[in-house]
Amino acid sequence: MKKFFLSFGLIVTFAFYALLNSKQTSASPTVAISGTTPVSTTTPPVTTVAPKTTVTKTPAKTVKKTPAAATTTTPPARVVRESEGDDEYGDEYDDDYVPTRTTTPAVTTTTTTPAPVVKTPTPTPIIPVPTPAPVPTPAPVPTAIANTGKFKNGTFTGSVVDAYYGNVQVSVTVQGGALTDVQFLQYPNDRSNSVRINTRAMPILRSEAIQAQSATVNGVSGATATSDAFVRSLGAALALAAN
Amino acid sequence: MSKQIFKETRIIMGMPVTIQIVDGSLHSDRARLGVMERAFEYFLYVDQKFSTYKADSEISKINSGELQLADASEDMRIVFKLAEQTKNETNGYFDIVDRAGKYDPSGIVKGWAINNVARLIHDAGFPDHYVEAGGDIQVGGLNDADLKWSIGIKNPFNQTENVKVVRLSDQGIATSGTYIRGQHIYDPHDRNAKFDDIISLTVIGPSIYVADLFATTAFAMGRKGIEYIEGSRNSDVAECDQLEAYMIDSRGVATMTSGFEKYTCPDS
Repeated sequence: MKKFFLSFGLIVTFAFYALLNSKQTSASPTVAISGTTPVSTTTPPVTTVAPKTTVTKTPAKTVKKTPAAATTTTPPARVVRESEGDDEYGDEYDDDYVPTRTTTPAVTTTTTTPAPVVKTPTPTPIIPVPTPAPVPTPAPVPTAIANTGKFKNGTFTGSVVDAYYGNVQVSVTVQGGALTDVQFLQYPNDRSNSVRINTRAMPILRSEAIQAQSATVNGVSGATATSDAFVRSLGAALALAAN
Repeated sequence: MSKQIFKETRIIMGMPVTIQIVDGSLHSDRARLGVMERAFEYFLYVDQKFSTYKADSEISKINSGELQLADASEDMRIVFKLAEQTKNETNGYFDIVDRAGKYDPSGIVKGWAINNVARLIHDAGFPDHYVEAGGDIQVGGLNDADLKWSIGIKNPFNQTENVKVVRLSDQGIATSGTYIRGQHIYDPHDRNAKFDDIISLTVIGPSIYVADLFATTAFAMGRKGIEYIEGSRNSDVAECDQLEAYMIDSRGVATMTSGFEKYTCPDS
């Protein structure tokens, strides 16, 4: 249940962002969360509105409060051992590589726009939405945000966004003018198959509470592709929900 | 005479692809721009051939029965051979045949393509480089300060932050995670099992290809994934000897393999 709240909080924070970005409004919407309402809304996928989003980066560096260091010990493990095969993945990259000059899309580097600050207890996330969203049919985004910034009641389905590994599509449910549920209608599920693990003695592995690092880096490793697609689909759904 | 980083990002295959090349005054601008262009073109080529979302891609033609594997291009046959090999190495876990019975090699192709591009850049005379597609990275040589490349591991709870910085050279680093998309990976042996208490698993390997495969495989194992990597380090497979991993669970607690910390020393 804790997990649920956590991920829900994250989603709602993203929802804020997607909305703010798509609206470019100064009035932050009042959104209440009722995390315990499992609204089962299974609307059929509808291709709808593309959000008016830009690549935004939060300049502010927020320090996340990390949970207390828990000394966890990992249980004795079971591990795959036998494997074989020669390593040849790297040797034949250009066997039938035919360079094409035809397609050179969108040179997008970092467009840094200051993002509005949302006052939520959760740490401010960044919404890295690639500008050339492969979402078809950009429909007019409702611009009459009005004073309140609240949402219309109902269920709104975002566009299907290709995350390369698969499509992502979400729908949002609004009750009493507040966002109450976000559902995944589609998500990539390419990484599923059997796992077999054999017994083997295992040392106790070290654990630590994660901590934000301030050092400048050359690059960042993270699972991003699907998140971007999620944000784009969510932005489209929230654009529809806006009052 | 000082070295400089030349960096470019494009959106290919629905994700940001970034290439960085370090150079002093050894090469002409033309040579450098040329290799940069070829690198991006290779990603486009791979996307065109292996995307199951493109009806006219070669993989789509194989799936529709229009093309037999035996008649497919050399690259296609290489990827299928690699898939077979990986399936054996992961005890059948990693299979490019999806539940609909169609071939979907995207889980292999990304790491393979990054690897090939890094080699392409290297062979063009640029040993110091960085190739990234959607958070999976291969680095070669050193950065512009003549240090190993510094790579952050993204905080899954806050995408603007890093929770760890590692120093790598001639290695790959890949992260598998649920992040905000929720639970979607399951163990088919236990349909009710929830693995979503593991949010992110990062693997460092001798190449991005190996790192990516093991990150994907281990992530689906849930809590046992980190032990799987730990055990692989001492396996008979030479390339697995160099695997290290950093796993983050939903409480914000990270667990690491026993050799991971050698990469976290500053400016090594």
